[in-house]
Amino acid sequence: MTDQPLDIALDDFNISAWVAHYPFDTARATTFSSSSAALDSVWRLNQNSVKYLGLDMYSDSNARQRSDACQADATTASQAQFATTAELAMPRYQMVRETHAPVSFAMPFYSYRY
Amino acid sequence: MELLLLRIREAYDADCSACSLYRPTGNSAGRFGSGYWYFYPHENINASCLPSRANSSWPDKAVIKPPFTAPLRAKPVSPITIETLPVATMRKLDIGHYAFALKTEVQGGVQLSLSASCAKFTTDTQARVILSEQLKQDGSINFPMYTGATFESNFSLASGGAQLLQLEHHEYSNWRFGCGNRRSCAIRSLKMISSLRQARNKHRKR
Repeated sequence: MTDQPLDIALDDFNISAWVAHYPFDTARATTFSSSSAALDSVWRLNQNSVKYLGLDMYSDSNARQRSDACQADATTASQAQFATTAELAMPRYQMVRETHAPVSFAMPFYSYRY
Repeated sequence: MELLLLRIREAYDADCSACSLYRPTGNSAGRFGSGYWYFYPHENINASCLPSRANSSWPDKAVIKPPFTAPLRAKPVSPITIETLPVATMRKLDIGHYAFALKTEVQGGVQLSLSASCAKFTTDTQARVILSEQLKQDGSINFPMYTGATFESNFSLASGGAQLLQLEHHEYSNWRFGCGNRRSCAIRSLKMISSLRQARNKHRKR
């Protein structure tokens, strides 16, 4: 095997991405605006995190803990999802999953406020 | 009788009722250093405040309210969507060296499709792919990321032959920017910086 780069053209290959996400209910999405551009940016950053990475937040990331029963992160993710899209179905599903999880992590009880 | 016991417990638990029923005075706090380390109030339980059948302020029967006019239905959990997204930008940086960027951050993996008509792909060909969520201030890809995660993969290719070959990641990563080539990715090269700056500026204009 040689270590020389292969001279390939853009027509010789294609790169795309397969993407997994939970639907983001834009019809019920929360809006936020303030007199601070920085604060507005923080809001967009966090809302986009919920929108594009919502599943990942429930497991403390697929690249880190990878736990499907990470209650501490699930609590945070649930509150963020509820605040941005009034989403309750996914948190409910997560609670059912964790109730039946053989091993739980972190806090023994939920602290949902809704 | 069960209802009465329930209300007695409620009398103990309710904050307002506790004032007349519970009537705590003082405490038997232990002192440790400059602060208290436990508190235990003296309880003065006044049983006359407990609910009883003789107490007319407590209804004997529970009030049953009518059902909801519209039945309550829980919102179903939507299925997870899997879709394919094209890269928003791809640039050739050098021979066999490409950088690419998506429009947004995603949870997903790379799909690499090789043209069947290209005879250059052989079984000893390898493609190294690195992914990242962010760019640095200088426009270069932030790899490894601040989290310490190193999204790096090596795809061993097969010959093109008569069929289209597609390789893809088995598990998802969180990423938006990536590059791939056969050699080590020169992520600090000026070409890479230039390319990713173009990608970022292009997105900002949208």
